[in-house]
Amino acid sequence: MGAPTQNALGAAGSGFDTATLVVDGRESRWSAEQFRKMPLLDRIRVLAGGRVVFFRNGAEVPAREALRGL
Amino acid sequence: MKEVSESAVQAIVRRAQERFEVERRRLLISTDRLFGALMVVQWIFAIGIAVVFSPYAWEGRERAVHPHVWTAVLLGGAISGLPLLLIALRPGAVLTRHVVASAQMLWSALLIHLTGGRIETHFHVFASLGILAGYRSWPVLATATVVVAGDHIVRGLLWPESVYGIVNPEWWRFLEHAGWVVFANAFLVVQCLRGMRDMRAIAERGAELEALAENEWTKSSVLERPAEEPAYAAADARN
Repeated sequence: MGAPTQNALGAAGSGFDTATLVVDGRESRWSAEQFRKMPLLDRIRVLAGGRVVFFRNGAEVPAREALRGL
Repeated sequence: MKEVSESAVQAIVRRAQERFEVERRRLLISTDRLFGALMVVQWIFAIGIAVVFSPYAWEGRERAVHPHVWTAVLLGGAISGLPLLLIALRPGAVLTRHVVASAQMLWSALLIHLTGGRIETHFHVFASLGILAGYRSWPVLATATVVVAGDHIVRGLLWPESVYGIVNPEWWRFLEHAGWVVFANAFLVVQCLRGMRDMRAIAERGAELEALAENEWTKSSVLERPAEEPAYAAADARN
């Protein structure tokens, strides 16, 4: 098995390319770059609250794998 | 369903900031120490240059120790003295790295003078800027640039032979040198900013994983939990 490509790991050196956030019952879609640019406090809130689902090439990936990145 | 508390979230963010600060301070102190060694090595090197290339001054048949030797010993000692003192007493401090940057550029000036303005010795300026970028702090590069530009302007006007090796350089020669320094700095500043961003990203990545662990811990039933709480949870409880 070869080394993972940038495409396989998603954008911005992450293991995901999009993230879906559920805040106050509303769902919003974020690119990996947008998610990384979110203030740390907000990012930690959604992660700790389990209010985010990560996707790579349209398939859901476990959060731990998504955040492992490069 | 039980949720992770806001205080736990705040604690995770605080620990990420602390991890970043610890790593940054470690980098600053190790770079200070590197320059501490360099200050001593440059002093020895300067004395060596003076002793090998201009050990004596002659007046008729009278021989005396050349002023270059005394300059290397005394001025070199003065240049290295303050940064060495600050590195020992205040490692990692803002003042320390700016004094180091100034001293490093003064070392360039002294070595250029001791080698009679050899153009090759001017490379010391660029090597120094590269090493100073190890602080990952662009203001340090700004300080170094101001010092070396000031030295070139003043010495270029008052004693051009000492800095360019010739007595009548063009008045704008310092601008040519400064231009190359700005060229190097443009890339070094970007590298400094990128380095700090990467260091912060590593600390934040740790916080993200910590948040996931906190979430998993909160969601798990009491029976599923290990006998001991995670170390960070225990630390958080103490705070």
